Amino acid sequence: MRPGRPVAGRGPTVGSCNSWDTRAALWILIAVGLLACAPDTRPVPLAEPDVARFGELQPWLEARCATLDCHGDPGRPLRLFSETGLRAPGTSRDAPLSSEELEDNAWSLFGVDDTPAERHLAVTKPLARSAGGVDHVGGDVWTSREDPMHRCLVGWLDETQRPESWSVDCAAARAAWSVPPESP
Amino acid sequence: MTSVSRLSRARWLVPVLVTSLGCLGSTTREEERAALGDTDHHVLVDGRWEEPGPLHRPGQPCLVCHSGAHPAEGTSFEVAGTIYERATDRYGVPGVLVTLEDAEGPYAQVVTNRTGNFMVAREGDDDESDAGMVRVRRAFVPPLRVTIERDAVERSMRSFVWREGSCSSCHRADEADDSPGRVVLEDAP
Repeated sequence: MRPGRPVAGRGPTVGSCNSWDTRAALWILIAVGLLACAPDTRPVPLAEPDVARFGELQPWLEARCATLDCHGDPGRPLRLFSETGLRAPGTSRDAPLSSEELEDNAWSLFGVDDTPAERHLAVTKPLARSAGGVDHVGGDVWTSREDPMHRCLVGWLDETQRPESWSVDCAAARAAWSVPPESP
Repeated sequence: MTSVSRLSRARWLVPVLVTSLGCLGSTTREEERAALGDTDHHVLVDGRWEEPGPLHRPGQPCLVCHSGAHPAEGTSFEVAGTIYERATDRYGVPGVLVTLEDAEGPYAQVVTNRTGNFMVAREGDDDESDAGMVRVRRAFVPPLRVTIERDAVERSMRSFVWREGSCSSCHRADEADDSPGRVVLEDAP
C-alpha cells in the first residue's frame, strides 16, 4: 500500500497514524529479531590445519600431486614440498622431508580456500565435474567422492566430519599412490 | 561525408589501434624459446659441427620448440630428453635404453643417440627408431614411469610424470630446490 493514498474502507489518510503501517513495521521488527536469534546452520569455516595428522596425506600427495611438473612448482597456487620434488630453500635433496616442510605443506593445502571441507577448493579442484568438482588444469584426479584420497582429504580438513574409517581411507590412498623408496 | 567528419572518426580509431597493438606481443612459449638462446644449437660431434637435428641442444627442454601447433622442423614430441653418464658431463651418453610406461601399459622404448638425446615423436606412422627417435601413435596417458638402462646399470625414476614431456624442464643442469639435476646413470660419489 502506498502511503498517503486514501483507500476506500481502509481508514486513515495522509498524516494520520496508519495502523496497518504500524502493524507491518512491528511484524518486520519481530521477524528480523527472530532471524537474528536463529541458529546459524551454515558450515563453519575451517580454523586451522591438523598439522599433527598431515603425515597421513603426505605420501599420496607426493606421488599424485606434488611432482615438479604439477604442485611441486613454486609458481602454482598450491605449493607442495616433497622428498622427490620441490624442497624448502636450503634443504638437501637427499634429506627426508623435514617437519617444517610437512607443516608448510599442511598450511599450504589448508590455505587454498577458507570454505568448509566439502566445498574447499583443494577438494573440489581434483574432483571430476560430474561428481561436483570444478575445473582443474591437472584433470580429474577423483571421479567420485568415494575415492579414498577424497575421503582422506575431507576428513583431514575438518575433524568434525572425520569418520571412524578415516585412517583406513588414508591408508588405502597411500597404498594406491606412494613414491617407492630409493633403491640402494 | 565531409572531410571533417572523416577526421573526427579517424581520431577515434587511434586509441583503438593503440589498444589493439598493446595486445600483441610474445607468448610465454615464444619467451621460453628466446630464453634458450643459441647455446648448443650446433654441437661438435666427432670433430664436426652438427646441424640442427636429433643431436642438437642436449640437456635443453625439447618440447619448448617441438610441440604445439607449429613445432620446429615440423616435428612434435610427446616426451624427449637427454641422459648423462655423470652430472658434470658436457654431453649426454649414447646407447641408453629408455623405457616409458604409462597408465595404459608399455608406451615407448628408445635408445639415446650420440649426444645422449632421445625423442618420442607423435607424427608419422612408422615405428622405426632413428638417431634416438621413436614414433608413437598416441599421447601418453599419465602417470608416466621412466626407466633407463645401459650395460649393468638400471635406474627408475621414483616419482611419476604427470604433465611435462621435456625431461630438462625439471631435470636442469644444476641441482636445486626445484630440480634434482640431470638424468644420470651414475650418481656423484
